[in-house]
Amino acid sequence: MNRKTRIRKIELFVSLAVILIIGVVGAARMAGSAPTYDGSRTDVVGLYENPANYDTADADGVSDIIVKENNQYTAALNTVYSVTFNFRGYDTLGESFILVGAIAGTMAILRKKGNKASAQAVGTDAGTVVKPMKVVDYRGGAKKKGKTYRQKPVIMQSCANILLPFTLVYGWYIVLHGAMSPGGGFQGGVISAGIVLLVYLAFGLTGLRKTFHPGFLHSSETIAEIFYICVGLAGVFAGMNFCFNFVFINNGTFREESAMLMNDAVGYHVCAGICCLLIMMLEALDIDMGASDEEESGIAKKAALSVNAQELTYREADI
Amino acid sequence: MSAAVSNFPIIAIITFFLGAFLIALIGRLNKVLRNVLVFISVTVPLVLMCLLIKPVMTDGQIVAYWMGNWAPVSDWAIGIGIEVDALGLFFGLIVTLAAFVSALYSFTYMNRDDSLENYYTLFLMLSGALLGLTQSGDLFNIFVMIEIMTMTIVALTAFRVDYDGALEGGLKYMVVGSIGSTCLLVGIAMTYRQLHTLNLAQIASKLPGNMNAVTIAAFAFLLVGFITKASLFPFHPIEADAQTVAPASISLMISGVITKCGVYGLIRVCYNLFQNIDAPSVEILITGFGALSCFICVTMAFNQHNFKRLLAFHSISQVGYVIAAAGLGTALGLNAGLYHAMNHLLFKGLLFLCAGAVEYAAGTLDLDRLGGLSKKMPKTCALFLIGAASISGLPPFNGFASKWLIYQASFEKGVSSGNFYFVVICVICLISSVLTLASFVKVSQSVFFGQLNPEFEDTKEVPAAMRIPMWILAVLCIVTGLFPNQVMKYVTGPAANAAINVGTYIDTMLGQNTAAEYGIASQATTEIGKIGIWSPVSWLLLLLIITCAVCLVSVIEDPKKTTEEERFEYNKSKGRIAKFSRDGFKAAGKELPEAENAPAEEYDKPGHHRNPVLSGSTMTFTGERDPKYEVFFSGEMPEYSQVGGSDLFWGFKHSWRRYFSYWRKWHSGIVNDYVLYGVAALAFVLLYAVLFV
Amino acid sequence: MILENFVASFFLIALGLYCMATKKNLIKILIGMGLCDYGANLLIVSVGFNPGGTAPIFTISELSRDSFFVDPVPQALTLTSIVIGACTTAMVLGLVIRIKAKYGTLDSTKIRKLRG
Repeated sequence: MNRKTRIRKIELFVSLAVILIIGVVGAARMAGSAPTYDGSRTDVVGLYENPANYDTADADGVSDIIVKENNQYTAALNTVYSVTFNFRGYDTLGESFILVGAIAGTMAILRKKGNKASAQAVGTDAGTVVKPMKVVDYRGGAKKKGKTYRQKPVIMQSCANILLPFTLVYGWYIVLHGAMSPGGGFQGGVISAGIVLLVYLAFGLTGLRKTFHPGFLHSSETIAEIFYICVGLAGVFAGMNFCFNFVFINNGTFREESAMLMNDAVGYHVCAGICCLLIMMLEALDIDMGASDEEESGIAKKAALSVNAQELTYREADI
Repeated sequence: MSAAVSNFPIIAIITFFLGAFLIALIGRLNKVLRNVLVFISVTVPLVLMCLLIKPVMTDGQIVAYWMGNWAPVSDWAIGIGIEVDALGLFFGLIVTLAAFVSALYSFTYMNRDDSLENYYTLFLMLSGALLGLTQSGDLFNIFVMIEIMTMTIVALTAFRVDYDGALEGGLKYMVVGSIGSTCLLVGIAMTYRQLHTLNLAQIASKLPGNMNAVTIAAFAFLLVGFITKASLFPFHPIEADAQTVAPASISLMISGVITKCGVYGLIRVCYNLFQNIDAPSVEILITGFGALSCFICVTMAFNQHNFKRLLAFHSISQVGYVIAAAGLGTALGLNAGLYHAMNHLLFKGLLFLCAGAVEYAAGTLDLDRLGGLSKKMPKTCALFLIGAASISGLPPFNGFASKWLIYQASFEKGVSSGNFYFVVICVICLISSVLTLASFVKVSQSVFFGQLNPEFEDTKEVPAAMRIPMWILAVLCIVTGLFPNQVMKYVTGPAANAAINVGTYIDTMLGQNTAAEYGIASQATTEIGKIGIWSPVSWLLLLLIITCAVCLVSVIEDPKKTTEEERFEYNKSKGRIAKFSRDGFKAAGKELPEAENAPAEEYDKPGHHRNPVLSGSTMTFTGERDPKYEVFFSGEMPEYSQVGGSDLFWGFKHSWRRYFSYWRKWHSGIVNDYVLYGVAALAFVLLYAVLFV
Repeated sequence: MILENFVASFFLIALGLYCMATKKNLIKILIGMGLCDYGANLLIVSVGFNPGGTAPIFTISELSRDSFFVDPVPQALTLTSIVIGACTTAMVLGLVIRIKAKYGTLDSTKIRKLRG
């Protein structure tokens, strides 16, 4: 076996060396050659003041034309946002589908085992015994002659109480202002999905279960996706192509376009989707961190740390 | 191209996704509603794709559709374009047909599983992603669709979480597939740096004039990315694992469609984007990968003890055929490759659905335990035989036509280029075909023929709803085999021409005369010669006549043979029958007076045989035994002793034992080893591209 | 500045591949996958850099007469790629949770029921 592992190691190092060398040489060539698109010939202040003042005849890249046409045809000041939702809105649609796929897939993988005829095995073993996972006791504390010291998550709870509204507002600020400043649906959605972790770390799994309902989150994110598709299809029904900018109002102070509708849909979709994903995984792991006595935390439910190892499932009844 | 017709591709793609979301929303409520939604979602795209056949394939138009009406400005494509030419439509038809058949099959096959709304959501998203991939005209959009495809197929592989190895198969697929995705991203980034555009038509027009070291490295990365998705030689163990543990309808999708998307990507990259398929080094590389996968996988299939894993290795071997043919660079080679790609979906899909039917009825896929199922499941057996004959390349089925074309194309290439390498490829393909036939003889014997294992006494034939999709595929197998010239003229011919004829592709997307500005000639369509003087109908008639003759001969009764009763009486009169003594040893040779008057047990009556192996002989054996044989049989229950398929080719396996044991250890099952093989392949392709291309 | 980015991205990819090929713990293999993704993302973003350019947003208060933009298209591609990487990680983590329950271990040399 020693010879075999040595051959494997040599093979690995030689391959990685080849990849690195070719990559670095290629990188040097890439960096050395002057980029064909050098945006220095575009006058951006002039474009801002006068959106129709540009000339695309001698363009040297796709981005050149996008930057020039942005102010005239879109209602967004953030060019990256308009590339994401206007010019390449179909790619963003595909990207949001990946999130739905990940959630549906995780739901299928982490489901409670309830197959009717699920003992049919491929190969020789007929069914495997589920070995329960050893759960770590996070409560800590020392045992001293009958006295048990437990940690009380006072700090976590107080901080979570203060931070939750800020997180939500900040996340949605980024979603809604994506057109004017750096941001957008994806970025803001993920920030506002952090509230799940705040609630979990502060109030434990019981608090999480009281606050969120994963089934509702899953349904609402699906509705957001359907809304996104319908905004895209509205263009087809209007006689134009898919993802057409059919709502386009730009009169200086008020700006609205279909890309903003898509952006809001994506923000909500990402927020609800990632909340749902996190809740599923936390329920599957079923470690109750931060739970303490009823009287002290005010949670009117019996919160016990699951030291007995349980099956790794999530409650299908909740979905 | 009217505006209404040009909307069809995007409506087909969106129907799949919209159906998926509606099922995710309301699928839990009602089973009938969910099935109806799924049925609508798979039928509408199939109909739309078929409606596109006339404008795109027959009339030769190309659908050019810009998302959001962002038309090209000054010849720069700022939006995402959908371009459906005959090659894209060909693969689109493969996708929609596979989704249709698989959905019909899974209505019945999956009814023993739970959480089916997730299954159908993932399945429809997979179909939508595959259709979006084949219709797209933008490089990054292809990447996004590949990622949707990878995500959903991993979840579907691991869907039956209780199966042995399902989760492990999903994990390995994801880990090794991520190497491919990373390579694709790096290739796209390097291409963008050189050309500053992402549209396929524009890259095709600008790239041939701008080749330098960076684009060659980008070519290598893109090539490895698509080879990972098509699961060729060093990346194939993950595919074999995934096809084993996935539900049978998903195995059909993996083997029939996902590998074809890798093939589609390869053809686009080599024929359209980089247009360097004429370089001999590229041809040698691609055909080398194809032939290696072909041979190694078909020999690995001899070792398998699991029905679906054996079929999975054969599937990868057939994809090796497709790549070996498509990498030849000639019009005939590409035609042969595309024909075989279509046939591969048809016969491999049929075989996987039969395996699913066996699993549904008998409950196991272990070749050492199955046997004799043709008595209980005759219709499934007939369908399996059609599939096995197709994959082995027997006339008049479709496998023969496409394999013949592949041999012809590779041999002609070897002759015309003077390079003996291509003749070697032809010989490897031929040998693999023979080994495929041997392997399927083994499988048929293991599963369907021979003795019925008593534990499968009460298996029943699968419901008709499961057999209908299998019959659809079988009929298509036979039809495409009987009319190969028509298939080449109307289906694969236009697709191959579309791949070779880059100029028209560029012109349609970016405006007239764009291709000419960049110096790309618009080639005339190449006429593909017919398959020669072989006429499938006469071969079919010959086969029928021979079959009738064989049946006739076997049925004619030898007048001396009689029924069992008569034989029993005859032997008794000759004194050959001794009384059966249950207590073998003691009564050997001795008279047992009680036995004379003992009531005849059920198994002593004529016609009931305790030892099936010796039944039918004209010796003593009609329920009673000659005591001189008691020494061998006494105290022993007569056994089920099926000569399983594993024993059929023991001589071959013994003489090649070092080869087989090496490759069995190579497929070690550890994910680190598979990643190592992938990294080594990436390094090899990079080195080869930098040095030789 | 841009050459260091490119070299770093290839180095990250090679490091990620090394992790995936050598480490036995499934979580470490997952980290290796993440490293590959980050390397590729770094490469895409760096490809779009124009030396001296500023962020491609038309906030008039921060622009001056001679400022110009970096390339916005690769930034949009990177956004997509980061989301893809996050969803991939989420899916693999779900698989790892279930594998730990079923096999009782996270050692990749012991999770090999499908072999040969």
